[in-house]
Amino acid sequence: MLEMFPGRIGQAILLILVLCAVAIGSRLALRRKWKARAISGIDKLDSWIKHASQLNRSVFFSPGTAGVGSTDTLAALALLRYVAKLCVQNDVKLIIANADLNVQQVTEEILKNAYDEAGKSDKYNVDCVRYLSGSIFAYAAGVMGLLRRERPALNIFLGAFSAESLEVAEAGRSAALYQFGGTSSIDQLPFFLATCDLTLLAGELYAAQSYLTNDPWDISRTVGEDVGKVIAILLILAGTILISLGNEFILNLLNL
Amino acid sequence: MTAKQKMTPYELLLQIVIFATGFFYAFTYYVKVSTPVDLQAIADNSLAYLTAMIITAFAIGIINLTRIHYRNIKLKRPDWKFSIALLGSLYGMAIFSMISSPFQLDPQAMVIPVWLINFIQPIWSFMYYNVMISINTSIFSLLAFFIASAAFRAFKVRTLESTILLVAGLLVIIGEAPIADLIWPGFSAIQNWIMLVPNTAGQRGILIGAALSIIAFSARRMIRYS
Amino acid sequence: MTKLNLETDPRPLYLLLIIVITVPVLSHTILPVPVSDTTRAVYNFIQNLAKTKPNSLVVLSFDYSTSLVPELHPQAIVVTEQLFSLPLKVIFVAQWVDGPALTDAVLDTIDKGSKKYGIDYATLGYIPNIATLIGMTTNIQQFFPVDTRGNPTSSLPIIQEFPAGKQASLLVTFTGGEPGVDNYLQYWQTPFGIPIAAGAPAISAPGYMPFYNSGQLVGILISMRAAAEYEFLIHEVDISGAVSAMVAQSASLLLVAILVILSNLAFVLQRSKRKGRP
Repeated sequence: MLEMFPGRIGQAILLILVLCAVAIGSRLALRRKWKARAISGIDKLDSWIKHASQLNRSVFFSPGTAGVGSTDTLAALALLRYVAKLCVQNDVKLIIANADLNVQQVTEEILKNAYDEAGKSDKYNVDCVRYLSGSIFAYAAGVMGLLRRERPALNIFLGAFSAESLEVAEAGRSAALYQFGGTSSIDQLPFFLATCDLTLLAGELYAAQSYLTNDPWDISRTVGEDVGKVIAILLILAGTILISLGNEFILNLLNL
Repeated sequence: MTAKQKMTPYELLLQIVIFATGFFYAFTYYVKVSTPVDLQAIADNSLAYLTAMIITAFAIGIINLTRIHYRNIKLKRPDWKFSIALLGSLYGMAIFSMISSPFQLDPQAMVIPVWLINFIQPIWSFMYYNVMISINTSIFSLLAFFIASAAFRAFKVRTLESTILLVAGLLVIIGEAPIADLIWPGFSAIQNWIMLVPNTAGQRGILIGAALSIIAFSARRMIRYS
Repeated sequence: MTKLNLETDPRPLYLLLIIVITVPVLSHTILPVPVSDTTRAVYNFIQNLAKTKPNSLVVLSFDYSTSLVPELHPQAIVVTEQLFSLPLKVIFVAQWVDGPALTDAVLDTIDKGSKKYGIDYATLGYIPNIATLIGMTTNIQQFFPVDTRGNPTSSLPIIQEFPAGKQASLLVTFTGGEPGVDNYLQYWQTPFGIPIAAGAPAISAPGYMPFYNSGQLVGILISMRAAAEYEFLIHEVDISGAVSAMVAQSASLLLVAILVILSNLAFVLQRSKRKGRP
């Protein structure tokens, strides 16, 4: 027999509501060919990679320290595809440092595919994609050493980070010309804001791919996310007003 | 992959598996099904199998590390001596941990001789508590210096927003110091208020936004392979 | 004379920090530490629990690695010390791989008094996945057939008395990140209403404030400072070494604050000079 877990019915209703909003928003955006809002400064990525090419310096990419199960990592890997393509086009060495073994295999594939698609398979070097350590501070130590030795022109830190974010970003700051960070970990965002020239804040990390590729399908999904956020804002406003008036309807609904 | 690109049969199969698995876990989280099949037990057991699969990835990682550092040693690349230290500590610690540690394979000494366990135990303890903890703690401690230099750079009176950030940041830093209360008790009260009210409000906003992005992101991965 | 620019070359700042931290640590200066509300909440909850429900079960989860030992290990020591001095039973688990070894380190540090292994406390070890975390709420023996010492859990009196994790009256998690508090909130607190307290490093603690505000967490221990506050509460000053580090911590924080104020004063004066020039 089917029965709902108590305390989760409200969540399920909300989830279905948000998913429907995402679907409707996506369809609308696809039909009306909406454009993604510009994410401030992200266009500079192209010029930074070109500058790295002119200086004959490399680009460093860190997809964070979480596994492939983390949505931050997946968003970072989506952006890695774009960065890898640019680096291969401009003949810039891309160094990727991983803290997770499954991510290591995915990043190897991504970089290899980028070289294959550009017809430069002979230039692919498997040593550019390195697994450092699963322990976050051992990873941080490895990245700090790598940044000081390789001296890349551009450091990109995207994905899920914990306490090591400031160490790698600060160490990279002294060596690199530009730094680009992005995470949805709210603890680490202030550190990236203080050390990076450009930071993607939380939701921007997920939206960045759609903005860069300008693919209508990706943009439509980003619009869908925004519709979900509108629902959340309306719920919060309605809930706040009702609670202030002594009505606990929305609270009871969410606690079902 | 864009909307215009068609999926190959392999990609379609993969997408069906991804969707079915994702939907299954979401369904079993909200709906309890005990008859005719206990879906919750299936979900829990399959997570255990997933753990086993993830652990095999460690073997691949160890092979990867060994391959890279063995080549460093063989070709005498720069810093090849550190590669010896890495491989030595990797395999040494693994073997010692299996013999005598909280993770030992034979805690009741049914197979491994007791004298070997007792011999290895102080070595493992030294390597773990005196070396590994000290090294990890030292790297973590670098944060103190980096936070100081980052704060020094970030807290500047350039605009109104950065001034508000500066004032709030300074009040929290001073309030966090245990001695601050001896200077003026108001410091910790202000720090508490900043942490409990504006900080919590901002964190909640980012948390909700990120959670919604994750829902939409995960939903689109379930629907469309890319 | 070379101009000092701490933004491009922060080494003088680092040197000052080293001096300001090292001198108080070496001199072992101890000063009283005011107790914060979030720390007192955890302490009071445990004290009340011992009074109202003696011999009830408390689960301690060691969810941190060796790198977070300075911040979380002192918290673990003082909380375990308090629990072992009260009529409460304790089960130790860990969501992080280093947890079991750190549990042993804590147990070697504290005074166990008359507490006996297997009767008053037990160390179950590492929780490898979510399935185990969920499953142990209903059946500990199935998911932990043996403890970290190789004993069958079915033979331990504490497990016979509390065969299911949901019988716990409190769970305290010393959490360095994920997996950590989030899992316990989702799978222990929400379905079973088990009160949860968290010990967190200073970097993560602000993120847990919403949960404390909403009552989902009974209290939060924030960084080594909470351990120092706790030492005064349980009257075991410097058992974990936290109190003697507080002067160093205060000095370094105040140094950073003073330097930031001075640099901004210099910045403002420079700007007004430039504006004043024709």
